[in-house]
Amino acid sequence: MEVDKGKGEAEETRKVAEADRDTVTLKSSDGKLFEVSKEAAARLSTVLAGMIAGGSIDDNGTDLKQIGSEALENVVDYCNKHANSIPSAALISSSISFNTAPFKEPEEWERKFVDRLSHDALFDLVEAANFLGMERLLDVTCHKISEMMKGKSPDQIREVFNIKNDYTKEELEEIRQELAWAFYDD
Amino acid sequence: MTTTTTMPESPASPPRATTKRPRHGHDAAPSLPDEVIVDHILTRVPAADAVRFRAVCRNWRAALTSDHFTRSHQTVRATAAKPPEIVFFAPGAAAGSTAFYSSRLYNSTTPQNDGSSPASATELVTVSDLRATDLVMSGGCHGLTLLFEPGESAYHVINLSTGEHVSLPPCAWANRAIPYGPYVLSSAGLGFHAAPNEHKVVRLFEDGWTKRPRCEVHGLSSGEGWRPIAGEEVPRRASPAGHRCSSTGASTGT
Repeated sequence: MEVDKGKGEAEETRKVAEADRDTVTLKSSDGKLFEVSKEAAARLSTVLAGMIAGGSIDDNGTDLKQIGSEALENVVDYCNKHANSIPSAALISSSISFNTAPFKEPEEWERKFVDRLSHDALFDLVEAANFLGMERLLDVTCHKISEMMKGKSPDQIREVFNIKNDYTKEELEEIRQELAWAFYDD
Repeated sequence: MTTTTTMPESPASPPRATTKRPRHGHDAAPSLPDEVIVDHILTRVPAADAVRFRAVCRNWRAALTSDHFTRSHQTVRATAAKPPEIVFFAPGAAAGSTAFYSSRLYNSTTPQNDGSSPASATELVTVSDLRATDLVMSGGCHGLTLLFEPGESAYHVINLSTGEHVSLPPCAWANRAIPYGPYVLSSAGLGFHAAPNEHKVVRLFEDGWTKRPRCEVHGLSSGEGWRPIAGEEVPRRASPAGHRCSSTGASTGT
């Protein structure tokens, strides 16, 4: 069989198991294939659950054009780890919005999982989790980013989030004076 | 080769950013959808950081000062497991100022006895024009704390997380427990009235002139000043607590 392959990435392309339909095959924007347990995908991602229920899963690789291979690999990795370490569905808050579901602190393995990610990989994973409707993964990754932001200056934050400063010098000075206590002497 | 399935538009996915973000360069940091940044990330940062980040850009200031954000931030932060804390104050470094501190409380069941200092105080905010030597903390509600200066017959409401504070309009003097003594016959509480979405302060005191008990209410948003509580006259037996340490009973009177 043939699948689209990224340049020089054939060795990383996983073969679709023809007989095994306990898994779904996902295809990243750059054409790499990843397999994930159907049960875990449906449990952790509202979008994948909808696609599985709606029969719009492609055995040869469901296109996820918005997600790069590195992020998709992390998504799949998370699903597998989650399946192995969570005995019950108690932690899964899919389809519950952020302001009603009490957030449970990341588990030890979840902390390790996000801690090893580079800055860019973490942000990519947030986007992927958001796109796939993976509420718990979104919680865990956003929690990590919020921890990274503690004590940072507005300049540092603009850099991290790629934001342009659209204040005038005078406006910024005004804000700093008004909220002086919240600024460090820098 | 079979046809590939494309991703259906999902209700869970936000509107895509119009500009595709630059990739993996030193000067090209990634950007996330606003909805994710505001609802999922900024709601998790401590209040002081959320205030400082108003200086990041106009969009962020608008988002961080919105009612939607305030409510979400309260909810998300409140669910984070935290040991109980006490709040106290002391005269600040500058004359006539007051510094507020918080300190975590640990009980014997908390696995904290590892030799580290059990509790250290963190400075929250310092407020000038507030004399710690004449100040009573009269309880709090929804993140706001009510302060009373008996010597000035003045009330203040402060947000100890952001340092924002307002002084309430002047109010009638309360009678003193002992002539010229420091204790006044007055107590007050801060409450939240959900229907008009407004904080209210209710004070019960013995009027300094008429020696009769009175009850007044002031709404923080309406700004109409102190007015007598609606309905019946305050019964004579309803005597205010004759202490500097006023009661902390919160009320939502109309």
